[in-house]
This record gives sequence, C-alpha cells and structure tokens, in this order.
Amino acid sequence: MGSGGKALNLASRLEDHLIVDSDKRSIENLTNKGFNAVYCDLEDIESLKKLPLENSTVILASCDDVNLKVAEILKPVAKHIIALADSDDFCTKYEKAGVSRICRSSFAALVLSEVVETTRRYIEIEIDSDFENKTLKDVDIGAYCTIISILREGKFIRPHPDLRLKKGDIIGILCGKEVKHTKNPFDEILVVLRTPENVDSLMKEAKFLAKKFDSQLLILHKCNGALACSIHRGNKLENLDESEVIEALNSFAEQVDLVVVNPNKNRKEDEFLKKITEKFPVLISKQKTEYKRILVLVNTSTPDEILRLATSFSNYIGETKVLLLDQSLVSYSSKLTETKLEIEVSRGNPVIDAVKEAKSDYDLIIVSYRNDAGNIDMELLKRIIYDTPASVLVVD
Amino acid sequence: MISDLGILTIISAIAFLSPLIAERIRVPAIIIELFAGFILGVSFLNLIRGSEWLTFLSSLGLIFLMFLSGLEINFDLVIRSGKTVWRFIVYTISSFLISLILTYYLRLDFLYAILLTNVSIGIVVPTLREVTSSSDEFFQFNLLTSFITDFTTMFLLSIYILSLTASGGSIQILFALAIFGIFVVAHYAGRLAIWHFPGFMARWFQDDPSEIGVRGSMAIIFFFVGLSFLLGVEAILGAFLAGALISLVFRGGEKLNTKLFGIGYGFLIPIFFIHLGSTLKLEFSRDMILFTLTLIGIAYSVKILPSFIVFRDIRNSLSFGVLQTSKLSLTIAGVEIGREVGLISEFEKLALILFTIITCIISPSLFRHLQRTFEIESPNNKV
Repeated sequence: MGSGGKALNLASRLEDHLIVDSDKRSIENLTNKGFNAVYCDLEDIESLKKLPLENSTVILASCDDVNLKVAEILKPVAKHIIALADSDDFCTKYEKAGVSRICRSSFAALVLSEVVETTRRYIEIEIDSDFENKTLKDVDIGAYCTIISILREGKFIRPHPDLRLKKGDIIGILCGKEVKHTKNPFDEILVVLRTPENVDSLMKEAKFLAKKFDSQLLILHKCNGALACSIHRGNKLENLDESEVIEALNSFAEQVDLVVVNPNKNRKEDEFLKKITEKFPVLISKQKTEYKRILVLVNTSTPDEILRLATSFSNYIGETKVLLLDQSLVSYSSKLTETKLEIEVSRGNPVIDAVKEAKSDYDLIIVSYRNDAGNIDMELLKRIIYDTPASVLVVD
Repeated sequence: MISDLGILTIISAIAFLSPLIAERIRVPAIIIELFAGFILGVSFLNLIRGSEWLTFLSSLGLIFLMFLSGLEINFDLVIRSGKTVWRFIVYTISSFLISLILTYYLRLDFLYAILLTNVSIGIVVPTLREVTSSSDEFFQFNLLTSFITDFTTMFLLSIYILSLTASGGSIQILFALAIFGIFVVAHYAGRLAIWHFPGFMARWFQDDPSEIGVRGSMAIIFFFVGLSFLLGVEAILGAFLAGALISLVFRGGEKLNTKLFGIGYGFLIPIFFIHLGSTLKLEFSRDMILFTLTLIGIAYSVKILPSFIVFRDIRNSLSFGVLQTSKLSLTIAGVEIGREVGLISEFEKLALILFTIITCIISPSLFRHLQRTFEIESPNNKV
C-alpha cells in the first residue's frame, strides 16, 4: 500500500507483489517499469475490500495516517499486516489497529524482515545516501534479521554498534526464524505460583513481559491438591514445594522459554536455582511493573545467551547497560550490533564493580548462575539475586 | 668502611641490575641477588655487613614475600575446579607423605619434609607459559597443584614453627590458632564491607592519588603481623594470611595487585635475598655436595612418583613431576626461618640454598627438554 521509495524497494525484491496506490500517475509509471501495480483509493473502504488480498501479507508503506485507516479496514481479510512507520509516535496506534509487526525504519522495510518468514536467507543491501553516516545501533532491521558483515571498498568489516555506514557499503544480512528467536527470546513464559502470596504483582510483571515479547503466558499452580498448568489460575491456591516444581518443570523442557517465580523467603534454594537455570532462564520477580533501567552483568565465560537477552531487552524494553566483568569478554561486544546497549568493562575490581552497579537504581538485573567469569563470590551473587530491589533474570 | 647509605646504594643497584642480567643468562633474578649478596657479603668482599636497618628491611622483605605468596593464590580457580579438586589434593598429600617417609628414613628434620614438598609458583607459571596456553588442561592442573601445595606447605611450616616456639605448650598453640579464626571473621567482614560500602571499596582499585588500596593493604599486612606477634605466631604466617585474605575477599583486581607487587618485588624482596646471600659462608666440601645431591634425588622422587597416581602415562607424569620440583623463594624463606629457630645448622642452610638454586635452574630446563622430546597429550583423558 503506497508507491513511495519504501514500497518500491520492497516490491523490487519480491517476485509476487502487488502495489496499490491512489496516485494514478504513479501507478501508470510503475506499470511501465514492469511492476504489478493497481489503482485504488486507499481511503475508500469499498474499493479496498474489492482488492484480492485473501491470505496475503499487506505492507503498509504510505503515510502513517493513511496506513492506520487501511489497517483497520483490511484487518479481517489479510493474513499479516506490516506497517512501515514513519514515526515512533504511531507505534501504539498501529498495535491497537491489529498490525502484526511494525518496522520503525525504512531500513527494516528494506530487509523485508517479516516477509522472509520461515527459511533462513541471506540478503545484501547497498547503502545509499538515506543511510549514510548512520551507526548500526541506529538502524532497526527488524526482529527476523541481523547484520553479519559489511563490505567496504573491497574489504570486509566486522559489524559493531558504533560502526558508521558509508554510501556504497554492502551490508550482509541474515534473516530467518532462528534470528528472530535470538532477538525476541520468549515464546512461552511459565509463571510458577509457589505460594498464594503476592500472586497479583507476580502476574502483573509476567504479563508485562509477555506483552512486550508477544509471548504466551502459562501458569503452574496447585489447586485443590492437584497440580495444574493452564492459562488461568485457580481461586484457592496452595503452596507448591520445590520437588513438585522441579518435577513439573522437567516435563516442560523444550516447551518453556522463561520461568517466572517469586523469591523464596528462606533463601535456601541454591539447588533449585541451579537445577532450573540449567534448563530455563528464571526471573526472580520483585514486583516490578515495568523495566526502565536494565543491568546485564556478564559473569560467564560463555556469554552468548546473556548477551542475546541483553539485545532483546535493549530492543524491546528499556535502557540497558552491559557490564563485562572480565577483559577477555570484550571480544563478544562486537556481536552486539544494531543495539543501543551501553557497554562497559570492569576496570577495577569485578566483584566490587558488580555490587556497586547492582545496588544502583535498576529495575531488572540479568546475571548468570554459572558465574565462571569476573570472580563474583557466590555469596555476593546470591545477595545480588535476593537482596537488591531489582527483579533478577538468572540464566545458566 | 662503607656508610649505610653506601650499602643502600649498592643494594639498590644490584636490585636494579639483577633482573636485567637474569634475563640475559636465563635464570631467575633471585639467584643473581643471592649470588651478588654472597660476593659482597662476609665470605668475600665483606662490603655488606649486618646492621639494624638492613636486618629490619630484610625482615620486611620476607614479610612482603610471604604476603605476596598469599596474594598470588587464586582461590577462585581452586573453588571453581569443583569435583576435580581431589586430584590436586591427592597429589599434594601423596607428595608430602613420600617426602615424610624419605626424610624420616634419612633422619632429617620434619622441616625437610615441608621444604621438599614446596613448589615455586614464580618458576612454574612462566615456564608453563613458554610451552603451553593458559587455557590448556595441563597448564591449569599445574597451576592449581602449585596453589594447593603452596598453601599447604606454608600452613604446615607455620604450625610446625609455632609448635616449636610456643613456650606455653598446647594451650598456647590453641591460643595461636585463633589467628585462623580471626582470618575467617575478617573474610566475612570484607564481604560485608563490599556489600555495604561498594563505593568506598571501589576506591581501592582505582587510580586514587591517596592510594587508599595500598594503604589499606599495608594496614591489613601489619594488622596480621602484629596479631601474630601478640598470639606468639611467626610473622610469616600473619603476612601469608593477610595476602590470602585480600586474594579471597577481592578475588582479583589487577591494579592493586600490580602496585603491591611493585613495592615487594621492586624493592623489599630483593633486599631480603641480597642480605641472605651476604650472610652465607662458603664451606663447600664433599659432604655438602653429597648431601645436596641426596636432597635433589629426594625432591624429584617426591614430585615424580605421585604424579603417576594422577597421570597414567610416563610422558605427562615425568614432565609434571619435574616442573613441580622447582623451588625458590618460599623454600629459601623456609630455610632462613628454620635456621633462625635453630632447626638446621649453617651447613644445612647452605646445602638447602644450593639445592634450591640447582632445582630452580634445572627443573624448568628439564621440563622444556621433556616437552620437546615428547609431544605431551592433554592430561584430561588420562586421569
């Protein structure tokens, strides 16, 4: 929908496309150039309904006001609706209008993030003057794609967030479901109601996450003596003991991407955390309703998982700071392309730097329970997990 | 007659030149310092004579040597070795037991069993770095064994000296053992300080003009040294525990460690070795050579035999055992302490120092030779 530069860039890369626009002259020109283009008044309901759009993916590439109206009309007919938003202010409105994916920049449109769908695919794009001088972290290429290489004047450059693009650069982009998973990590979130206390606040935090990551929320609870896992919780909740939770979670392997729990008051759950984090990331909820500031403590020698989460939280949730607790981890920071993460390396003592940072005003801390880099004393790590006001996402 | 300042100038010049000479002839700087001290001392030129301040600085050097030995122990590595830690412990205990049996058979003092089990991390680490990567299993196994051996032997030495010097009998020994209780309490206090005052503690590791970290560390050293004095324990144990405490609480912090190593190895520790060399009296005899050779034989047996328990092949066992036989600073410190409390004679002191110098020169060379001869396989699959 639309015949501007964004729409044409997309159409030129798609074999099976149809350009729809209300500018007759543009349609004529495009037809002459070999595009499939039809005239339709984008603001006329009846005309839009006549379009052959069943099971198609509609890409809204006109101005935001028009896009919103079209989205409302086509919602029942189209398989997917993707909007190429001109302004961030419209994102909420697009969400309400039922748009399945919003690309906040025309770069995202270029790489066809949603259209790529199921199979892994490699795309190369040449940078034109529109993106000249932009840094990679300022470029939104969508959830399904990631930049893996940059060819400049015959030389390959390793991408990093502060790399400034130049006209003529050829950007190598990898797209696919696997990439989407690295950027949007939780399809299924399981809330474990271990006690009847603070259930509402726990659910509120879990729902906030589920909404942000477009995840399915499941609830594990005990009601009338029976263990249940459903999308609704029962009325009369009973206490769940540690072994019941572990046994139940073992049967969820491969099906759950995140477990959300309240902190255990007696704190004697080292084994519990160890066993669970080996299989799933665990969010120890401290009754937060949103995460404005997020801290990622990279205290593992295999930081891929924790950095993947850092990228996701930075992209979708809030201001994220990554503190690398070991100099040897610096090489991993080059993987954090297209993100607005603030990255810092511990220059003094890693233990003290971690504690100092964790006690600052953060809403969420992401940390590894493996704890094999940065020398954090295990007792202090447990204090970070249980005694800081921030919710803590513990990964393996 | 050279003035005190003149002696200090000579010692500073030796301390400055010894690492440069050592690099050229590929021996540890300590050997040059000992040798220079020996030439300038009572046996030859008699330029360096014992004076109160030199003895004091030398004692301070020994205290710093013990402190830095404690600081060098990477507790994190030991803790993270998890279930495999038994391998290192089995090796250390076996090596000590063999040493105990052989020294008992030869009617040598218990001090010998400790010194022959000891190993020099300062020799092991650079030698390993020359031939293998630090992430290699063989490297890690060597390093961890050295840490555990170092800690165990220093602990045994302190307890042994304590048992000999404690005039009040077993009650005083128990009283003296309170230093370990204070160590544990200080460890918890350090952890609490990090949790409650991270901003202040961070200053220890920053480029602070007032050098809070160095001042704090010095205060910890002399607190433990003073405590040792009050409890009737050897100052070396206090200094060693102070180093171990800083290592255990902070688990790293390159900047502070670099400054402390600078003070120690840059000034005070060379004074200890030069002074020690200056006190050696040359009394070479056939007996001394035979005794030194016997010690060398025992030292290699003590380290090579138990390595067959943890390695199943001759190649890894031999090269591991040979490298673990490297002795240096702590052995010499132990010899000096042993002499001070009258456990060994002047003859034995000289023989032990000679033995230490020989092992620290030939062990790394022999290890390199074995490495070249055999292509060492990873020990991981063979243990």
